[in-house]
Amino acid sequence: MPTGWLIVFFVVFAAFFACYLSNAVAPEISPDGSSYHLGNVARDWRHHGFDWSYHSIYSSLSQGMEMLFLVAFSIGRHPAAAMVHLAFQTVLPLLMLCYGRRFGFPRVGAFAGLLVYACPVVGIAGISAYNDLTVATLIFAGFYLLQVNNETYSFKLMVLIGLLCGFGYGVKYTAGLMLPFAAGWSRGRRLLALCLGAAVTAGPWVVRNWVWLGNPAAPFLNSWFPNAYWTAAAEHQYLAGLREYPAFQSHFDFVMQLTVLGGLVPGMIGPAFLLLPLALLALRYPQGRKLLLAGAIYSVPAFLNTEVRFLIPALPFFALALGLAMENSWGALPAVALFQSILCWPTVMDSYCDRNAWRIRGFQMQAALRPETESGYIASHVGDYALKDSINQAVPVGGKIFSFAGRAAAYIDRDIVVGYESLQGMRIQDALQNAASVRVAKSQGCDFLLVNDSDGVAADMKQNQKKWGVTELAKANGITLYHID
Amino acid sequence: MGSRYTISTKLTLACLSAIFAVQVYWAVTRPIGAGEAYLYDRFVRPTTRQVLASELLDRDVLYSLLEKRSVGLFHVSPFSVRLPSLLFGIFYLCSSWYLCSRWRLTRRFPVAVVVMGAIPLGWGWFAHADGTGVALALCTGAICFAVERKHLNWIGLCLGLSISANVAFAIPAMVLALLILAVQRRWSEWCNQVVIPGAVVVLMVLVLPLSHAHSAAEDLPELTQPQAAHLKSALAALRASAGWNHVGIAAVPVTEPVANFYRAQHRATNWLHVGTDVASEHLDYYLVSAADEGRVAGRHLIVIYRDADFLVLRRPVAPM
Repeated sequence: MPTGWLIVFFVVFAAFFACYLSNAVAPEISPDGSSYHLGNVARDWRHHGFDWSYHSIYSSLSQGMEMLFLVAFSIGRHPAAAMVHLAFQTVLPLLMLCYGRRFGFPRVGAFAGLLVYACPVVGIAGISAYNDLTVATLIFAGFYLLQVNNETYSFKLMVLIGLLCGFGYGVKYTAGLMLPFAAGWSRGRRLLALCLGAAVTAGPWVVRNWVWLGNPAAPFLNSWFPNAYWTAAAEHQYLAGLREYPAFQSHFDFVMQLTVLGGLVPGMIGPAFLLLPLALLALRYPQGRKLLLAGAIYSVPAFLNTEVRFLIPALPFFALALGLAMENSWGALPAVALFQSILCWPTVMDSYCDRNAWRIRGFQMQAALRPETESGYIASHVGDYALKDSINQAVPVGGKIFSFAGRAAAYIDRDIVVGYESLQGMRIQDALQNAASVRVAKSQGCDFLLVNDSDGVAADMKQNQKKWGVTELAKANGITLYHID
Repeated sequence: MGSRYTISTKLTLACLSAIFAVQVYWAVTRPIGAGEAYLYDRFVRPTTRQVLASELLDRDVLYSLLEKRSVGLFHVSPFSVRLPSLLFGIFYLCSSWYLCSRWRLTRRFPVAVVVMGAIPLGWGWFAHADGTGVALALCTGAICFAVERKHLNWIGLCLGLSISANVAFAIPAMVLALLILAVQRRWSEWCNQVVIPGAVVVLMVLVLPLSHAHSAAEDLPELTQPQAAHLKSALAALRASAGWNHVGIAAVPVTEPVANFYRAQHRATNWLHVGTDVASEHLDYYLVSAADEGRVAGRHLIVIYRDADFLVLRRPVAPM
């Protein structure tokens, strides 16, 4: 590999790594991380195992990543979990570099690694207690091993690929695509080895959900596996909500939002990915065709969920294909890699992307090294955190709180029943919204309510507390804690 | 072996020099046009952050960047904003020379070169501060590199830069790229050395300006040469009348960028505000076209300048 490329790769990589590290070490404030990813971990930690009586769509998803988080959480609490995800994020570009070197295009590997590593949505997702970078890394590692296995067949390697496929499913259902993808490359004994490996790591989650909820694919496929905790109609409504994009002025506007602006879609992938149509030129090469096929398959989940981070697993493949397409064009690879790196540097992004874009804002040294108190930092970013003390004082240990919206469950040591996350929550929500009654909540064991000012019943409940049979206990950041009398 | 510089080549060189001299003369003497002033006022004078925030569509991004550099070096003047065009004019003339010589038009060579060099003269593309001349020169350069068949990377680079200089050249540049493919019939080289460098250059130059251009472009009618000269006189009269007093000025849309350009050129910092709110009654001066005279009628304004095209009017109370 040319020395110049190595220097460029490691200088840019080191700069972004320093920035990502300072953000990952800072207290966890990401929306999903502080609500259900670490919420599940905190609950498992409190209960010394799964809480079988707590039902939520998010607790019934496979928890492979949460199991890794749990170990880190037990040592360093919330930021430690984010650091686990950061580790996967750090490995991904290095893996891509290795892939390029192994298959004879090291400059392309370095180029694609930088393109993906500098990508804004990869940055912000990677420093949060999410699982998208883990999925991307596992998928890419699986693909890498498949290519190696094509060169030198090994039964053990197929088992390893199977283990990765199963673990991918354990981390996130969307990574379940790994298994059929790998199976497409395998026949006979290879297929057997693959399935054997996958069963070891994916099996426990399937069995857990089947035994616990009566639905091995919970919270999905409820029409095939009817159960008492979630319905097909609710599932349909939930999935439809995930697919809903805001209104864009044009297709051009949508593409710009996805790559450069990132205001109307959560996150962005960076301006260099506007060159993706050029990746089709990689169809000229066998490696390019494989990479484009993998990219196309792993981008399918992005059509089912509008979150830009669902594109992350496909980005390494597309970036490598783009690099292959441009490899023989003098100066194009370093120019585009540096262009992406410069434009995706957090302080540079301030000048062009949307103010509300989901991205890293810069180094967080104050929060990372803790001259700024942890609670102060969290309170300034997570609205629910202001009610933490009030909840701890008012709600007894083991008590339940109902909320219409998702909450920062990772920081609240009480179980929260969220309206749209379970059948139980939906029953309470319906009773509150349609019958203006708190009796159902009470009967379901929820003695407390957390209501946002923007919730439909908020104004009426605030003015007619006696009629509702509730008492206001605390209020902060537009959120009110009520006790059901 | 005969001399390279025969009488015909010397004559051709003289003609090209004359053509270029005319362009330089125009660049120096012609008053600034509405389009040129608009480009300067909206995309060159403000900072990059302000330009992105304005969401206006800049069709001449590369030219704006070059103009910014030129203005930074030589201060604001009609010549400095046209300088990048002029420099690319030299590039165009050299390309024309090269192309005609490559095609071995021995007898017709002088005629061909002069005709190629003179075509843009008719429109004054190289004496006008917009990206058309630059884009044309770069497209011609791309043809030269294609004919030469040596530095193929430069074809894509030139075509990409030409689109960046004026987005209206996107289709001609693509057609040119396809023609090069049709002639050379080397798909792989064409992809690697024309399409990819071109696309990369276009992305790098245009992505940020175009991604923020949500507002429709303002379509200003271009001023004729007499109108531009009249406007310059009107602004000179206004400047003389205002002296060093701090004044607010309202102008009709077609004159507003020119007034702002004039303000920047003469560092008239006492011109507090040049806007288009002619309806406002509280400003000190009104610069309107003759056709818009009715918009300021009935306000008892004092006419300090009038010609066939423009009027400058002042509020009766002298500004302090």
